[in-house]
Amino acid sequence: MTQTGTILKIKGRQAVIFTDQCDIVCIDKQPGMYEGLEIRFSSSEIINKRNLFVQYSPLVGSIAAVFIFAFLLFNSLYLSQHNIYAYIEVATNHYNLELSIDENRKVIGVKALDDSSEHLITDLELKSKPLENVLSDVLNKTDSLELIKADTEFPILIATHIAEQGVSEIETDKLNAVCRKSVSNLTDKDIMLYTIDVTHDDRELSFSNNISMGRYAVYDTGIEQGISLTIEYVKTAKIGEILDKINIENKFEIGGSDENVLVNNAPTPDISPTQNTSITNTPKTSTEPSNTSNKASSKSSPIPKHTPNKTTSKPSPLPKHTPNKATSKPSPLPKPSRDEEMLDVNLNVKYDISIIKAMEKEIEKAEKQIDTIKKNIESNINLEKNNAETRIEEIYKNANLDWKTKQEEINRIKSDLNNKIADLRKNEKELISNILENLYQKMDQLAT
Amino acid sequence: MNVSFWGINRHEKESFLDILHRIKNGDRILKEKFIQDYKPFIIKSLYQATGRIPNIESSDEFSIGLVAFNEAIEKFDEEKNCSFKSFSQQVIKRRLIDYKRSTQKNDKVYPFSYFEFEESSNFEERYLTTDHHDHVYNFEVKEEFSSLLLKLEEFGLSIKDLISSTPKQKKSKQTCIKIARIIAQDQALFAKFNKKRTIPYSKLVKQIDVSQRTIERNRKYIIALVIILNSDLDVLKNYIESIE
Repeated sequence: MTQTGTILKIKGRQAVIFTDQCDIVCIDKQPGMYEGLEIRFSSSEIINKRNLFVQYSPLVGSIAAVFIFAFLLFNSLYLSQHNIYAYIEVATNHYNLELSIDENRKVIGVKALDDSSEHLITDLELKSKPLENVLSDVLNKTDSLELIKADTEFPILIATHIAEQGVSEIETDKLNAVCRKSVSNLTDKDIMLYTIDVTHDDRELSFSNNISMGRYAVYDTGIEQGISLTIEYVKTAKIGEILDKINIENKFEIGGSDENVLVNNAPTPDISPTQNTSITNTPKTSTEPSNTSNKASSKSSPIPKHTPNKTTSKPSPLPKHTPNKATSKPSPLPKPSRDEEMLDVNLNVKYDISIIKAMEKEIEKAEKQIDTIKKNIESNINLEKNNAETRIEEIYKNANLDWKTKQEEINRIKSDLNNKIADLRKNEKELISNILENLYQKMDQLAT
Repeated sequence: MNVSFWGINRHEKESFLDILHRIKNGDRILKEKFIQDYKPFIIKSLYQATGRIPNIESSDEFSIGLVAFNEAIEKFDEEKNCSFKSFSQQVIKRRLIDYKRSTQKNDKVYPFSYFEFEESSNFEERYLTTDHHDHVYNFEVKEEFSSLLLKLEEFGLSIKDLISSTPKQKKSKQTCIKIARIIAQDQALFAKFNKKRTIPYSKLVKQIDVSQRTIERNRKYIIALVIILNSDLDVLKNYIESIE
């Protein structure tokens, strides 16, 4: 349909027209067009949003279809197969390997972190195999190359990092258990296995420091224990040397003449019964409670560093700052199979199960008290905050006060609030430290 | 569906054909503007034919290009289903070849008057000069439109707003025109309209039975109509009158 109109404005490549039907429309600018020109045009020339959509919809649709197809293809071919669930680093004195596994614990990637590792895995088919088999294959190859014999006590560090954030510790423990199980198959070899969990931050930092995640986690543990090692040393030194200097939380001696497994703070007891293992007083391993830091509180150390006097005074690795962890610590110790009596491997002290239970009760009691104090303090703080907010609002609404006075009043309220919060926090700390002090005293009494 | 990309639809648009008709009918201002807009195209066509960019000020090629383009405007036939651009490009190319042949064959330089035909002696005079009166009128119209747009801006309206706010139904448009005319004709209402920069609804309802919602929905369009009705843009006023 032909319409007539006058050009109101030329806007880029378009002309805005006031039509004889009193519509204001837009058409493509033609050569010769100028503002004020009366012109005839076809209705099909009118550009509007719907027209543009109709015009470009086949093009947009086809592009979108291509993208969707490509995404689906990528998703089905790549993502589904290569969704990395966790990274496992295997570090020995002779090689460093990093395995990436999927949720079914199948190895989907193997990365040699040094030249000797590449030599080790050249003729091994590791991909798409279960993690257990891959670890066994690697260790068998290590054995066949007589690398295990080369060391008197072959150290293996297995560092695990679960790629997905927010996964529970149970998952990490399960993964560690799988690794231990694989290594413990080599019962005729003298192996010292260390497992360490790598946090997301540690893994990030290991990349930025150009060091493997396992070695970085060991370095980090060293720093927490106050052992001064340079990152260059940790990067280049043999893993055995480093591990001799640092106490790693989870340490297991596998195989050897006694064919036993020594467990330090092992959270998963699922391996020991099946492997005919027992907790012995072999002087090679022991727990050394320490209250220096959260992590260090549960760290273990070999016997040369053992300090019996200290441990007898504080028999369980009771954390000063983490009472929650402490409750779970005594649990690996008691095994009621020996007439409710148990031999403490670390301390050479006999504990009655009733003492341990009493200790647990005391800890629980202390925990409850601490929780109550924390709740009370938090509610007090919230109350103070609410009061301050109400007062500030009142000041804002007060029309009689000028801006400067308002600001001064608000600042005063804020500083009062900060002081009150600081007092409350101080009070909280004092109360908690009193409770803990009492707890330690009771523990000592029970232990002696 | 109007698919115009990838050269599927090569038919000229009606607005373009309308411009050509007007030029053929002797609209000099339009012709001047049209040739001005097509100058880059003429230069491009000459470059494609000769391999060098012509000097706009003094080269013979450019003059030949302009003459050929004018010829293309005159001889273009929309019925032959050919685009104007390709047609004019062909004409320019052929005229250029003719010129080269004639200069080479006779081994002599043709004066510029060679390309003249009809009675005019200067092609610029013939093709590009326009009536002085038309220019003044054109300038005035342009100024009127500029002031209209400025006035709209004062009310916080842009052309884009107007395009999207035009009512679709003829009845709605008629209601809007009725409201706009009341405001434009009533001095008190118009003064308030100008002062408050909005439609004076409370006073307006005394004169016309219309809901506030209708006014609010078509506010931008009504404002534009009021401004047009109070301007000297007779063409637009006639459009408004025609559908009232």
